[in-house]
Amino acid sequence: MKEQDHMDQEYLAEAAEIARPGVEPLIPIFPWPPRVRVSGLYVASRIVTPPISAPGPLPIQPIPIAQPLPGIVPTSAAPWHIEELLPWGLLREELRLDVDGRYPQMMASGTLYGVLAKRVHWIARLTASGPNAWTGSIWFKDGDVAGFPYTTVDITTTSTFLASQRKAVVRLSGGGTAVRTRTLAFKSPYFRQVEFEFDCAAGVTATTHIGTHDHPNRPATLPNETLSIEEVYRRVGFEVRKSGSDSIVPIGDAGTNARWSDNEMHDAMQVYWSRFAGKAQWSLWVFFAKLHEQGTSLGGIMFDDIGPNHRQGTAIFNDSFISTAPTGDANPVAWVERMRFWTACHEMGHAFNLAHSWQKQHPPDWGTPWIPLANEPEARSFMNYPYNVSGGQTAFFSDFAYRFSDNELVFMRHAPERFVQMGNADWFDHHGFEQASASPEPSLKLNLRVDRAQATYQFLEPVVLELKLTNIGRRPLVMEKELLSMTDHMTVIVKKRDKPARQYLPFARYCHDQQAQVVMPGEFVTDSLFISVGRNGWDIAEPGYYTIQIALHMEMEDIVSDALTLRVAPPRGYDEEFLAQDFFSDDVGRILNFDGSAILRGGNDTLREVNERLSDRAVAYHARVALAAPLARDYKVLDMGDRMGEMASAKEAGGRLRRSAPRIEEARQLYTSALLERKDQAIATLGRTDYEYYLGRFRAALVEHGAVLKKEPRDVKRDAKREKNGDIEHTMRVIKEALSSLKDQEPVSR
Amino acid sequence: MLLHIALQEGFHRDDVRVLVDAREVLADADVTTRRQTGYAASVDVDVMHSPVVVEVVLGKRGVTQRHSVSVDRPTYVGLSLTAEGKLVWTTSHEPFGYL
Repeated sequence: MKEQDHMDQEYLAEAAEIARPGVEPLIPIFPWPPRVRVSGLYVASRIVTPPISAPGPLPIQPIPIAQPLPGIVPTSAAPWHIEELLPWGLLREELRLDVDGRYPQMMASGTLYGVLAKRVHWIARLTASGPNAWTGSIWFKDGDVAGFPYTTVDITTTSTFLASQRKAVVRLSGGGTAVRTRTLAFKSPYFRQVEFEFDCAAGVTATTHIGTHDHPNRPATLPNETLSIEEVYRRVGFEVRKSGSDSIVPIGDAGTNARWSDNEMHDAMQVYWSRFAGKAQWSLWVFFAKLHEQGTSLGGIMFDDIGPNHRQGTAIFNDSFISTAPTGDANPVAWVERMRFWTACHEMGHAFNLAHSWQKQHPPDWGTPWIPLANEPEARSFMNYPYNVSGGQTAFFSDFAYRFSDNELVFMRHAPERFVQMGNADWFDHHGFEQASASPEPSLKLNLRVDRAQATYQFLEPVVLELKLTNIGRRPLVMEKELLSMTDHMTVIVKKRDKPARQYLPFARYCHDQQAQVVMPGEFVTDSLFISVGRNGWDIAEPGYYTIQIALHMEMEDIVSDALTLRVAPPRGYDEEFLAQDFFSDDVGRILNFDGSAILRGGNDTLREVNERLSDRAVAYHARVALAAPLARDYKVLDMGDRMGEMASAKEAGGRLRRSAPRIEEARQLYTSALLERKDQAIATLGRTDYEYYLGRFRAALVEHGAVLKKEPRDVKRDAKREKNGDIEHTMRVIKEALSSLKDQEPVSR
Repeated sequence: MLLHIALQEGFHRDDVRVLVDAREVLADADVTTRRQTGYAASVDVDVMHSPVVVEVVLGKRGVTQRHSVSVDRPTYVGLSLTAEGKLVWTTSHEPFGYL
């Protein structure tokens, strides 16, 4: 009986769904037997029990991607196999099947959330291959595609009235690897969720509904219904909810002229939008006002291209030209209502990152389209201007079915989430966090810190962040030992005030053995991040304010840090300005990043000059440790003779490895000056984590070159523990002891 | 009589001069289209006779074009650049609207 009740409830829920206008009947009366709609979101997640054997070799190249994405570089780590690279935890998969219902696009898209940010997004075009079966080629891939060689997908659905028992079997094949089959459970008839909030300026009424037959100029086949904005977007495939309660924005907040500037609207959004947050989220603020400061020629605008999170707010101006019906129109009141409704849907489309119909092709300097698109100047879409088509607005509305074009539907339903989600990729471009999986109740907290009271940096001083990941949950967590040093699992955004945000791209990504460690509740792990310079060049250099935020991609969620704002002070004088020209170079960046180089001579010369001319400045500490490192030990240098720089293999060029002898006395002086003389200043600029690391290197170099550490055997174990725990004072004592022992000896090498 | 000249689609840090009967009415060295609306800049000119010669100079692109425009009633001229850098002229007797 209980089971029957459950079935009845599910049936009633489905019936309620189909009772809403615009949703294609789930169970039509005819034909018989009834056909169950299968489009929607399917999901799977599963627990993999460790241990799992290491992945086998997969020497398979990824298929060409339709449009490589700026800033998203396939990991250089070994190919991964999502079924095997699961040392622990959950794997989630999503399938968006789009073969029936409203405006079917015959597409499927999937997202695979692997361990530690391994994320793949794919899209395939489908054809029916049998009852409840489809097949198609994968034409778009994004993310960690190197381990996702598949080229073909076959999908079979289980057809049943009970949503809880609907399944999709997804079979991925091709690409020279074994077939991969997964079963995913039906979750929702919608592909994605979004929420809207409608607020009005005082004295303005929002037009959020329309009678589709109110105006006589319409398609003959247009159903007669009351259509809401929410329903328009439900038909796109979004489960639409309303956030907050629609509110009135006092006109006084707009200034005295009642016309709204973009900044005023942005401020109002922060105050009145119940969901405002400085992060990407599937949530949109829609504001109805009288006029923009541009005047009556602006009917509406997605005004939010301000700040780090674009596309969160959009506005409609009721007193603009959209409220002037053409002379002689058959029903001017209905015309105006329709135009206001249409404008709201249009501006909201921009918030989903849709361009105008005629802007799909554009010059490269406008940004990167997600896939090559053709212009649609005659499209009967919310994203076209009605008065720009052949025949003008009369022709447009006579053939307009209150919908988006197929290309636009594919984008909103199937493009990678970060392209579409509000507050994520910049308007008209792609950048920023993949923040899709941030949990409302995260188990981890990521803090960004700097080892100083105020986050102010001297000009030229490199920025080293301290990352701290704390288990704030109630259960022990198992995580990669080197998690915080594996930058391919992070998205790091650096934004200088009034400049576009940049994604920090490290010079190198490090591949570590997968070693798990247990982090108990309240415990944390730390590491450092040298963030000033990377493959993008110097992200932090000019004086000004910078905001830094990091998303750490875990298997089931993204851990997003709070934003850290720091300031770079102006140059102290001519010396710093002069040296900056050489200092902010790729060579110096690489030397500092890799803690020294024996071959980047120009960069080393610059750092020596910094050490001499700016010896009291923080940048000198960085210069000294970078100059000391290659001097402290044997250094292997590839000597190409006169043919250095030629496009020839080392063998062809007669290259040979040459040993550069250590110069321990110079190294000692540099390390001593950098690490021992002014410890607190050194920690402040190098960061505690790196300071400890450099101390360790210094100590190891001393021991390697003859320092004698007098120790009883029982002290060795105790000392090792103290060093492991970051006892800096202890390590310094050990080093000083080593240095004094060296004084009694001839230096090994000078 | 009103002659409204609007720089619309496709401008990106363009150096633009607009002249009406050899008189400079708009000069801006950094014109960029706001892509949400397709609007970049505009100028209203009060003209005393019709037709007038409207000349557009895109300095960085090395483009100069002239058109004779009849202004016997309020006239709106829209100038857009295609993806290929071609300058497209549109003329209307209704004000332009942007969305």
